[in-house]
Amino acid sequence: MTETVSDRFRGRRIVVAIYLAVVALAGVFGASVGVLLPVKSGRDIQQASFAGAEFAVTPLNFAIYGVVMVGVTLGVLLLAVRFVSRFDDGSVDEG
Amino acid sequence: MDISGQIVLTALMAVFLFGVVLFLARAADWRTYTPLAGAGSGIVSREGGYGHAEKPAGIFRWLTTVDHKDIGILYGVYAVLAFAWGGIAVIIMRTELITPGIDVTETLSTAMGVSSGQNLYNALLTSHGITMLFLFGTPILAAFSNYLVPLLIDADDMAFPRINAIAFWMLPPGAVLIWGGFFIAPFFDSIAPSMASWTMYPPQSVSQTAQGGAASTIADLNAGTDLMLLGLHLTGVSATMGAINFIATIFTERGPDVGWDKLDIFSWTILTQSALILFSFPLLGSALVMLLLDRNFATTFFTADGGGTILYQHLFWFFGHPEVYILVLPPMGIISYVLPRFSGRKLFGFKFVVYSTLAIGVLSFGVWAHHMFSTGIDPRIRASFMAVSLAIAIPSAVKTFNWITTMWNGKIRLTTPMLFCIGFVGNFIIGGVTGVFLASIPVDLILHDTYYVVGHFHYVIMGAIAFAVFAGVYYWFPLVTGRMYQVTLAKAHFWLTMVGTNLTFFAMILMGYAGMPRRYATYNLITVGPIDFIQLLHVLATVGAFILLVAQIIWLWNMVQSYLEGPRVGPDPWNLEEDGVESREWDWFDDRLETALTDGGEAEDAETDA
Repeated sequence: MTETVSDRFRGRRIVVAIYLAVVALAGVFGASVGVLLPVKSGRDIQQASFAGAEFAVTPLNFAIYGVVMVGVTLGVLLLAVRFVSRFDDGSVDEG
Repeated sequence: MDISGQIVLTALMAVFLFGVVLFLARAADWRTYTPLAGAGSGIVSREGGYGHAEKPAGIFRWLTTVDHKDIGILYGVYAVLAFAWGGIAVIIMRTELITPGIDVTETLSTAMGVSSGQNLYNALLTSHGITMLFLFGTPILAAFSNYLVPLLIDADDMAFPRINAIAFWMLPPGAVLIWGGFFIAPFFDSIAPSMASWTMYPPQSVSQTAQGGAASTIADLNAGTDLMLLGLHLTGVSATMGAINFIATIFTERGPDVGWDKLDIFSWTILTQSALILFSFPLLGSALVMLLLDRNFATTFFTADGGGTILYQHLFWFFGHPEVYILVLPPMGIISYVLPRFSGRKLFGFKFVVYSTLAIGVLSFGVWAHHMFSTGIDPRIRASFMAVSLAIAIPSAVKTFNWITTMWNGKIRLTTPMLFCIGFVGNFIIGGVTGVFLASIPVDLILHDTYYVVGHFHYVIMGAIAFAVFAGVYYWFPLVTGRMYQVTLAKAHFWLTMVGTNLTFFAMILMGYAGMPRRYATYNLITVGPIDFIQLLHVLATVGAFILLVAQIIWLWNMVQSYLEGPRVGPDPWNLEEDGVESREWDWFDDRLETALTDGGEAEDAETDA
């Protein structure tokens, strides 16, 4: 058996799929931090603020925070990738 | 027994040893490494030059070889053994951490001759760190560079083949010394494996006894630490000799067609890595010698009324931070080399990847004090180190950006090496971004010495460096063995490793937020965090570690079995020609196959890739 993978995926589909997976994971991570911070015997943090906006530390709030923060940051970088890829001489994707 | 009896016994022993040597010398029908030709007495080297035209067979071939490819294989086998040692150490530690109190290591410590469970844990922690960085990390990269760099730059061999062999043969005694405490501990109460941690900070590393306390006289010191320091010094000398060799090879041995503009990305990273080794390992060597003198000859380099303990930290981290890049640059080179091949195109922005490699190399010498933010050093010094530490993220991000853009405009084949490349990029982003936060002084003061730091650097070391190593191992497995590995096992290895890595190390990042300090065998007495929650995270991390263990067993099985009986491959096992992304080492492989055939080697089930 040899490792021949004849299926070829368009690179941008893979990259976007990874982007979505990472943003979803950021939600899970955010929720975990939201569970962790308010635990009584721990650091007991109940309130958080970002750019002046106060919000309670709950798993849901932190999941939203994670998704928006990572989604926007990586989204901007992804748009930058899209932009510079126009000047890419080595492209093999005509789509 | 009288004296003549002893002489007779000595003579008998000499005769016996001579017999052993004769037996080994004659054991020519031992399985010889001949991936391409059939059975026989070794491969006839095609490359002329300095003449290893015919190699002896059996064990002597490996003991005497100066061929860069053989030495590369030796480095690889050695690194895998060290990986197993470090892995078993960490499995024992992670098992201990399932419960808050001391249990597993307490039981083991009696059997292993260590005075307590906590001491055994500290010894395993020390051994795990040193082994993975110096006995696995650096040698496995040397395996790739030894095998590939001369092929990639069209050189006959390394510039100094014998120095190359000497550099390797310093490593096995180095490992024996570093692990020595474990072998001796069962027989002597006064000697234990070193518990100084991989950073070996004084005063502990200068004053610890085998029982873990402070020694009152030099005679009470734990000699296990001396052995470790000597072994570490040997591996440092080995790495420096290797680095000099690579610099000389890449500068002077390039073939007529390989100008600086044609130098491949992997060789660029090896060149930069070698320069880092050359400028940083001598610092480690000096610091180690000073530690040894402080321990054994009562010098005062690092005592509080002498040079001070902070002096050691400056010296150690001036080496220690470049060491991080010594370990990560060649893996970045492997990714930059392999990832475009399965994207069916050339690397996007090659020049900028080279520039960022060089930039990382230079900047890496200006960030060391970020390991010392909480030691009370001058705040103005801290601020400048924070600035450089944040700045070094930029060239790393440039590389990541170029890998993603390469994929964006590519047509991707999800082979096992490519999966590991993609996994590398993902894990490296997490490891890198968590590091950017640590570079900031206020964040570092909160998270310093917590599991957050452990999670961060393991994302880079396991999630990125080891992933790139696996990508390289799978990609070049056919080149080295002439055979193909088992794809299903390889895929299982990837997914288990990916899940295990993220489970283990993300749990550690959360534990750091919760306040769990690093390096402890127990956490039943901590007051900073919620113990129930921390225990849950420890259990998750341990489950992840066991998933990793299973994955690596699968990998080892796959490698050994496929080496023995995997299907033989044709000249272009990855179909690189189809995309026009061929490279020099596979051309060499093709030549080699043809030579083997005309030499009368067997091509029984040669399989071209369909």
